[in-house]
Amino acid sequence: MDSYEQLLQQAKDSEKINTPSTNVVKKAIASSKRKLILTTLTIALLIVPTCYMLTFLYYAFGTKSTTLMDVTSQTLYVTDPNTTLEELEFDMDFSLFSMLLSFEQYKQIGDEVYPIKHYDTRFMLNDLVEKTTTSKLEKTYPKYPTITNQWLVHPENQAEFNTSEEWQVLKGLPDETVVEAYISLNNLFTVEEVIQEMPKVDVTWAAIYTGVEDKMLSANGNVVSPIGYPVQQDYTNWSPFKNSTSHEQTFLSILHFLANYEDIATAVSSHKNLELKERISYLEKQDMKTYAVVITGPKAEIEQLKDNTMIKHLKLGEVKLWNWVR
Amino acid sequence: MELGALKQSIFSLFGWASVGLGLWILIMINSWIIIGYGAPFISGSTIFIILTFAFGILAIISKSSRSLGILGIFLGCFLVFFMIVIFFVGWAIIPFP
Repeated sequence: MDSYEQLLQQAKDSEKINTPSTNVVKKAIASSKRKLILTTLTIALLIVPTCYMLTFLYYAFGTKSTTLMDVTSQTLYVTDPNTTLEELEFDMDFSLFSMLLSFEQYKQIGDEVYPIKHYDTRFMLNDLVEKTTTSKLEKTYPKYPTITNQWLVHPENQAEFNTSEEWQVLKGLPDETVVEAYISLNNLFTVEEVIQEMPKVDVTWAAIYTGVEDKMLSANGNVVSPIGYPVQQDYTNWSPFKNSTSHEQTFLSILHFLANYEDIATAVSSHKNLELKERISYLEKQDMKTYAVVITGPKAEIEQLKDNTMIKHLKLGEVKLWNWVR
Repeated sequence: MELGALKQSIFSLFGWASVGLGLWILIMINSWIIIGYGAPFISGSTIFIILTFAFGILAIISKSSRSLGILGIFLGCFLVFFMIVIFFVGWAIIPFP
């Protein structure tokens, strides 16, 4: 045997000695398989909780959940006539990258406040992706706003409803009822002037002229709807108008706040467009005047307003049994 | 020799118990979030997390079960972190009592 063959033999022998037994190999493969399965399972199970944590962190440090809630509530205060919200009625629920916000909306009819709508809104991060409302109203405001189907009508705009029929319906109601009425005025007035003119009823909400309501079209031709503010002192903790010295200033500051989130505010509201920048710029230059208000009170008191020269149109809203205790 | 094998299997058992408990809590959290009830904060989960840590620490003593122990402790740490984030950040994002 020459040296080359010896070397070859040695190599073969050492290979035999170093080769692990079949059992050891099988065990190693089984162990690796287990570890792989375990690691895969662990990673798969970590995905959802991690995303859930990221969702919480987003709503805490990104677009805050409270900001979305404020945008939602303040939008409704200035776009839905004669409505309020209750803080403790808000319900928040979080799922992966989304937040569900549910709440109840109220309306003053006569001397009492009644629940009128239940909102379920779902935000995907800061984008409103779903809005469901369950209404308890007997009369619903037009769902798809146009330039003429508003219940609060600027003196230079036309109304689709027949005012004389509305007065007739009001006349036919029992005296033991309280009524919510949408009053359109024949000119622009300050809110104080309107309140003084109607002392026996509650003026609950005033639609403010923002330069676009005569045609209900913005400068770039988009259909807009009335915006305004609650007139009476609001004592609910949640209300942005609580302890407000000037509702006009609070209204303007709300518009400024909403302008930063106009897309969300428009989606939350029943309006097609809010055009807040254009309206804010008008309100900053001009005094705030109203062209229509929502009032509520005993049927007989509202009926007496028929001859008031200030009033151009009336549209009846909700009617409830007597609850007037003044 | 037999005593050594017994020791090894006990430590492996600790390792598997640690990982199993950690995964079980994760499965629970996953199912609660996916169903839509939010993350569960039942008092029992704290005991499970403590056991996950305890078994994990015992499992890393032996070389053969060390990887299981480390995984168990990692799961425990993640669960504690998850609880802290959800609890404290939850306070910030839900402004109601």
